Amino acid sequence: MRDFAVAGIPTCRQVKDMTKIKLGGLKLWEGGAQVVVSSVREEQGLAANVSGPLAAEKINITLLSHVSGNRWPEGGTALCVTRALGASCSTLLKLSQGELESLRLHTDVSIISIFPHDQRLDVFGRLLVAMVDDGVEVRGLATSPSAIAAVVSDRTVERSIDTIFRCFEFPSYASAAAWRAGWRRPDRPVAEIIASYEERLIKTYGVVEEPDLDLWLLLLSFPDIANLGAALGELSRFGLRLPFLVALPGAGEKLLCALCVGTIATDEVERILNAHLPGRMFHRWSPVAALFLHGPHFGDRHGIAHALIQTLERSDTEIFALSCAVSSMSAVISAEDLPAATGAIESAFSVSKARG
Amino acid sequence: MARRYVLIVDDDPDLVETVAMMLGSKGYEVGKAYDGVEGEESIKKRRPDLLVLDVMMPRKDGYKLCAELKGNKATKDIPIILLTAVGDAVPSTTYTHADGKATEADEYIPKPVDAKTLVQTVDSFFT
Repeated sequence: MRDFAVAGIPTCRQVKDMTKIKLGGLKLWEGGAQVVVSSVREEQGLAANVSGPLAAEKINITLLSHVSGNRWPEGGTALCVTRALGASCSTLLKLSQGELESLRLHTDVSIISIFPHDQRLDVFGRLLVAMVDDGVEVRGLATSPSAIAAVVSDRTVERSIDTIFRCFEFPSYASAAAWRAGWRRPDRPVAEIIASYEERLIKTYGVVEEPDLDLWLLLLSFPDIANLGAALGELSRFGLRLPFLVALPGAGEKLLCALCVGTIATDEVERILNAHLPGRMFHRWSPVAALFLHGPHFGDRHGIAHALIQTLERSDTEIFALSCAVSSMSAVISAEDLPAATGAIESAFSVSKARG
Repeated sequence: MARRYVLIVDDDPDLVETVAMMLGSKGYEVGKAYDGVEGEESIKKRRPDLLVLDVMMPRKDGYKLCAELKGNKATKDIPIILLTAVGDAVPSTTYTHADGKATEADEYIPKPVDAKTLVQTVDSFFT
């Protein structure tokens, strides 16, 4: 176990003696593969190059994260599918990308989701610091309106569960052992569903707009993830919220991370990121807006991410970042594109709109 | 007058949060549970005025919990709305399910749920 000393946030060992943060639950999705496209050929669009080919082959995506490289030197897309589909998915994307070296396939990933995060920076901060502290290799992060989904290698799943139980408590499970006993029991009812929904208009439980955000882009080494966690922990003291975060494998061994915080706190965020990540490459794009499509059964059906991406691209909305996890989809776009994007989504999906 | 207490039991945290937000904005007090066992424990602690129950969940599925509640004198009167992934929009699913109607739930709403329909259905039990 490593014990990074990071100012402003407890180390994992210290967390053991601290009050744990109460959450609602956690889920584990095992047997996955992660396909990473480091440089999406965005001139043709994400729909044509990534989501379209997978939708055409009816490949269901369990998690999708994307950071645009159009306005930033680093960009990429990472998606998780069942292990059996990893190779086909990789081949399809190679055919559409035409650049073999930009694509990586990992066939040993699992996704652990904790919820609800309630957009609390201290929840994100503690999770990131503790995972690095325990040597858990984070291969990706994605948020839904309620959950944080962490992509980890299969060999670190058990350690990740232990880490999570050291930092958080769950009403239904007294310990990691109790969770394992419930989750992994041999007669566990089948909880997975792969349904083929055939609606004329895809239903969502609601679309929430969140304007007035800064999008922060960072390229992080493994220890830097803990420093980012420390920064988020410190920012939590300002009463800020974190509505959006994705991270995916970037160049080298680094993690490309995109997160949104309200424009009201631009100066504080910049100061604290500089303090915790001195000399690191980061970039801000502002003002942006986030659109959250609550529960259109992303993860249970193929083609749903493609429907959103295609809808936004057809309305000339540039997607800065995308997080599709659990059952929802979240997109970060330019603030000026918000009316057109919302209109397009309301035409393409069956929605009830609420302002965030 | 006391607010009606609705318990939502679903292993999809996004659905739970969204439905909680919708019902909360309509004046309901909302409880949340993320699987059948947690739902059962929650009901023991506080009896809900209505239960919104998913079918496919880890540890204990919605059919089983529904059948147990309807078979128990103390809980059989709690109205239950079952959310099922079997409906017109779902021609195929890998889930093998028993006949949900045998569970004697009071109402069935197919997933994907129409938000307005769900709220109207909840309202209908109290008007």
